[in-house]
Amino acid sequence: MRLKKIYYNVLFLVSLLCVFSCTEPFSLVTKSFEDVIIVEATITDELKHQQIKVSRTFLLESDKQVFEKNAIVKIETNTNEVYNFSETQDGLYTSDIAFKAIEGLSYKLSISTSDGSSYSSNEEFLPPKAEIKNLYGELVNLNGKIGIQVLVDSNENLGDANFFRYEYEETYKIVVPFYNEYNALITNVIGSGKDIEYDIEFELKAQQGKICYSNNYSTEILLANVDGINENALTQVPIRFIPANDPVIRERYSILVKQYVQSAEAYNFYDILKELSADESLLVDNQPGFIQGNMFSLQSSSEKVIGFFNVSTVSTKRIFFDYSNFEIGLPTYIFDCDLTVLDYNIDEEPTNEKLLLYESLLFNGYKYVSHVESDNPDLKPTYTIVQSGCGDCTTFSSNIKPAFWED
Amino acid sequence: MKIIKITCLFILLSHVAFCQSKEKISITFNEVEIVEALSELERVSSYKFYFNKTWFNNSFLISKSFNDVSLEDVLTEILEDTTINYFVLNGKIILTNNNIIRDKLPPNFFGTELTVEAEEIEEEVDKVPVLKKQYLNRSKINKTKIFYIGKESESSSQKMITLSGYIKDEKTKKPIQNLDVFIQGTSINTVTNNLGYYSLKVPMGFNVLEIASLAYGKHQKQIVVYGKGTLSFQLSEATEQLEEVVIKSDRNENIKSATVGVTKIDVKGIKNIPLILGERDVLKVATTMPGIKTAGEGALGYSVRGGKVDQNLILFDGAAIYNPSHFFGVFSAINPFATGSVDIYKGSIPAEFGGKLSSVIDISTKEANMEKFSGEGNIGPVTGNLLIETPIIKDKISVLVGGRATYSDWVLKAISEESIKNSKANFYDAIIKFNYKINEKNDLQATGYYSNDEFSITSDSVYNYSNRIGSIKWDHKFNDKNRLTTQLASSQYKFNIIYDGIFNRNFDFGYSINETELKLKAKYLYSKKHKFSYGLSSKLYSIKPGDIVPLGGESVIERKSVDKERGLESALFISNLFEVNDKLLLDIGFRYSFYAALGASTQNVYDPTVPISAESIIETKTYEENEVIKTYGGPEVRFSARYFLTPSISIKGGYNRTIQYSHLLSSNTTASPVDSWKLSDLNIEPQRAEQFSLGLYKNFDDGIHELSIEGYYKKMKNLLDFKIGAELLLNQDIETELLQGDGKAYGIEFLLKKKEGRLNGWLGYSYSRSFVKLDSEFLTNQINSGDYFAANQDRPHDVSLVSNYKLTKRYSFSLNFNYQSGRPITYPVGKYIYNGEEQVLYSDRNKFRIPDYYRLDLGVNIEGNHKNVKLAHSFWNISVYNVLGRNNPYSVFFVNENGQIKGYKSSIFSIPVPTITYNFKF
Repeated sequence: MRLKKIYYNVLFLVSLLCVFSCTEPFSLVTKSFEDVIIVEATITDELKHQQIKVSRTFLLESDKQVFEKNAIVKIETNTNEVYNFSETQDGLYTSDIAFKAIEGLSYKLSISTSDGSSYSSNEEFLPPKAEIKNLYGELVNLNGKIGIQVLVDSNENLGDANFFRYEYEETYKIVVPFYNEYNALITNVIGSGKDIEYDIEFELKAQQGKICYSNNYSTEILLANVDGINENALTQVPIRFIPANDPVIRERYSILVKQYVQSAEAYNFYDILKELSADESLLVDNQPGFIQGNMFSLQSSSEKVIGFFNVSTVSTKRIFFDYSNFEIGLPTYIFDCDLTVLDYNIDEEPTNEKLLLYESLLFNGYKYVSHVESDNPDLKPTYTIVQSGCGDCTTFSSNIKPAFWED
Repeated sequence: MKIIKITCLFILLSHVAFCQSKEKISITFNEVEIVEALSELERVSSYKFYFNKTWFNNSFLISKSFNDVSLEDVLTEILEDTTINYFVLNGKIILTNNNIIRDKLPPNFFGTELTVEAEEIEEEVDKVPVLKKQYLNRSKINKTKIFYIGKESESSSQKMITLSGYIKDEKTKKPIQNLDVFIQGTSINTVTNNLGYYSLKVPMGFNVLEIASLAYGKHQKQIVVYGKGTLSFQLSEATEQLEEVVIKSDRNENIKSATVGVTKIDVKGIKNIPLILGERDVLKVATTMPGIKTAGEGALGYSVRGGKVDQNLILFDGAAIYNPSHFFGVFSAINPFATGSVDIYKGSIPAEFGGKLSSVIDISTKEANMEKFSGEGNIGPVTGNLLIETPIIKDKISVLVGGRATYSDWVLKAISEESIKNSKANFYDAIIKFNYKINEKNDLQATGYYSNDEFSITSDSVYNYSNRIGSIKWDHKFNDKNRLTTQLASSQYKFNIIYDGIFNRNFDFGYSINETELKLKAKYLYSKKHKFSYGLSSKLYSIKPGDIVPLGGESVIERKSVDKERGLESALFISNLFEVNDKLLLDIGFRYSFYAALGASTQNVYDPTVPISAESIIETKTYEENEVIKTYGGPEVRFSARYFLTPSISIKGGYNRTIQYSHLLSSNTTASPVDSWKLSDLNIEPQRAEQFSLGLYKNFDDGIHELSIEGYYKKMKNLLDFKIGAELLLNQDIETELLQGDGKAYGIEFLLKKKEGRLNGWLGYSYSRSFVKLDSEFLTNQINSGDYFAANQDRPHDVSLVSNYKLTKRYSFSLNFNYQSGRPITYPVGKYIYNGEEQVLYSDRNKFRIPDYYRLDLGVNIEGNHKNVKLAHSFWNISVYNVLGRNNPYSVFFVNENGQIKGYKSSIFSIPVPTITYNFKF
């Protein structure tokens, strides 16, 4: 149900706005630490090398994820098929062969860690399949903010497919506003500081830096269920809200949505996980605690194991759009771009433009945009430069066009 | 002057012989005053009359006809109902007030021939005439007025004479209740009843009637009692006491009564306590007393002696009030002007109350002014409050109407933040009370109350909650020994959430709980040693646990409603206040409560061998309308005793059992206004508790200082808790989310009060612990491995200092200081990455604490000028809440922002909050 969620949002705002109240961040310090194993495993009905992540808890003040390395990971079915997994990256275990979950079979995950502990999941079954019928964007006003809401409709007649989780992957095209196919190179440097002398030469860029494609993955837990819904279908499930001035829709934007059908227990696990990390308020303080998944220690029943071994069906859909498909203006570029015009011939205070040009190009990553030759042949040109992100997108993105991309 | 005159007359006349008149007269009086009647008599008879006109100032009218009777008969008859005696002397009629003119000396006037009757003289005074010399000397010294009571009669054989009267407040003209009235130097005493009426048997002759009260100070009336009579008078609130913060207790009540763990809040006295945003709050004052706590500013509910917030029976004129707060507990919903008294029973709960585990908070509104139109109001920064009282028929019917409302949501509007400009928060409450004194034996009162809160922060949702209360009470007095109170009370609490967003999931969700109770309570004053109180009550609950309705044609939300719940809670109770001897007083109470969960309903039966869940249902039973689903019940012993160690030190002990059949469903660490109530049913057992308490009480300096130390130990069973992330709204099978466990609480409470003087106030300290155990044979239903852990309301140390200093009549200063241990929280013990974002792993429940809480408030009250006669009495209150600007964290929470866990702590009123309030009274 949405009720609770809305309530929290509301109250969080209350807490922020109350004149005499305040909510302030504080840095987390671990008062006492509990080392617990984390299992993140979803196998699907897609034929592929399935992946399972095994990690451990780490200190609150740390940013470094701790992986469970050298564990023995396998999945067994009730027909005694065994799928072995091998560690392909730190803490990431990939099945040795490609396989897909099949309806009617039960799957059980077992993990043995290098320190000799072993863990096992409950037996899980593949839930029914549900397709994404529509994936679309709509211009909406969400609490006073105008933007594009990406929504999903499932197919009708969902049957026993009741609990859904969504993930998305968005890709957006970037076109830099001040591109020049040449790079400006500094050569023949004589002296240093304010007495510096140098030449500028131009060189064709080795790779194009005008058009790039960036990716984002959903980090939010997105859930939906058919409880309390009057139709045997999910409609208008909000997936991603893009504010109208968000640079991601300045050029073409694409979103791929994956719809997983889960068991009720898996849904519940994610739901609580989401709830406990959602906006809370000072006035309503949800009771937090340990969330029991379906993984257990085989040695000690009281040992905490975090995670859920999830067997899901999945359905995906991709759409493309940009701002011009909606009645909104051109969003701003990702960065604020300020063109800087520097005259090589000015080397006096207050601004030694010659020195500044040198430093900007060489050390501050500024990109060359254009130059104007002086009328006086004795004088050097005046250069226009711009911050790196405004002149070359490869500085922050990838210029490789994804295979799925449709312009 | 009058006294002197009469005295002279007396002395002169005592030497003159008495002469009987023989004259017969016929006369008719038609609605004439006595003075006129006497003049008329003087005209028709041959006698001259001597009297003082002022004696007849307030006399009644006479309509009477006499035919051929003696003058004496006429006089006797018309003076019968007055305090006037007459004396006939040589063609003159001498009237005297109170005393008799005697023509012979009383026996033993000059000597002592008392030999035979000596043993008769016990407490009672001999029948002797009242002679001036008994009191003359004293009155000369004191120079105060002497009141002459009654008419002396020569035939009377009474030795003790009944003196009665009404005592009223000079300003408000309202009866003063519970006023101690006693005769100096004797053990004769009484207290005034709710009409301000007192009645005493006093010895004839000179006495000093004394009245003592905290609010009215000490007053003495010199009286000379001749015969049965009345003395009614008015008292003005002692100006010295006017601004004092006092915890009302009757004279030595704290050491005298048998009950352990009772707190009385003097509503008048709270006006000096510094305020938050100008709101006077009776219940907030209560939390400065040991044993009563809140989770913090902005927390709903009260925790009494380690109990949970849903374990308090809050009665408002006899009707339960479910959520007596506005704006998430920042303000109380109880109108302070309408409130007459607040009694909080945290230890010994009288047998007449039941249904909640921890305490009874009994709030009574005051009686509407029967004398004249009056009112009271205040203007604060957030709300305005006005209360008006007026008689409809003087001294018979009166009505009180009060209301309070927020001016506007300027607090929210003041924020420049764009996204919350659309938000609003409004509240109001209103009260109406009706008093009808049918006659001396019958009293009727009716109260209606409504409070409403509405708030909306985002433009798409509106929250609303309200309390509605109605009660009617009829007091009937059969005779001096038997009284019956019949009360019908009904209350409703409901909340509503309207979500009207941009997607197709708009809905209107509503919840309501109703209860109606009929209660009959009788009092039987069997003897001085045994006073019985008995009765029965029956309460019908009706809960609509929720229905959700799609809003708008496009909404895909399914219309859904959870079955209505009904239950009948009944009880029989009897208690005997047994005064074993002067030292030992027992209050023996017994209550038998009985609960029946009623259909129509469907109830699940679960497989007991596995944890209950939707999968473990083995049967679903269906019940018809009014069919009994399940019954619970049990005896509830309420026993307490007092023993005087010395006249000013008493020791008290108590044992108390309670059963609770209705439960608040909350998966939060603190309560919220949209938490719903649930009745016990097939799967949810009632909560039970027993408490032992022991206390030592001492008064010193003539009751100015009171000291008490109380300890308690409490055991609780079937406390409700929920699984992590439990979904409680619209859940038909709530028991699948439920964990029921045991609790225990113990503590020691210390309170020192100074009740009078320029500096007054109190200092309270309590050390208290509260634990919960949620154990189960199933691992998934255990919390903290099934061991006892600190409950959410466990805050061991609690210090409160409330004090007032009166500088002059107009200026007084007040100070509040409060320190409390931080409440327990569940804190992260590590983090991990799941689903691409950071999550935290929480510790065992309530293993850590938020930082300690402390706060200092200061206030000053400036009275209007007392000298001028003004339309309204007014005063200004200037206060600063949280002077130290202590940032007391109220909650600590962890939010996932862009995949990263961030810790936040929030506090309310973390900066000093100054407030000015204007109060007036007319």
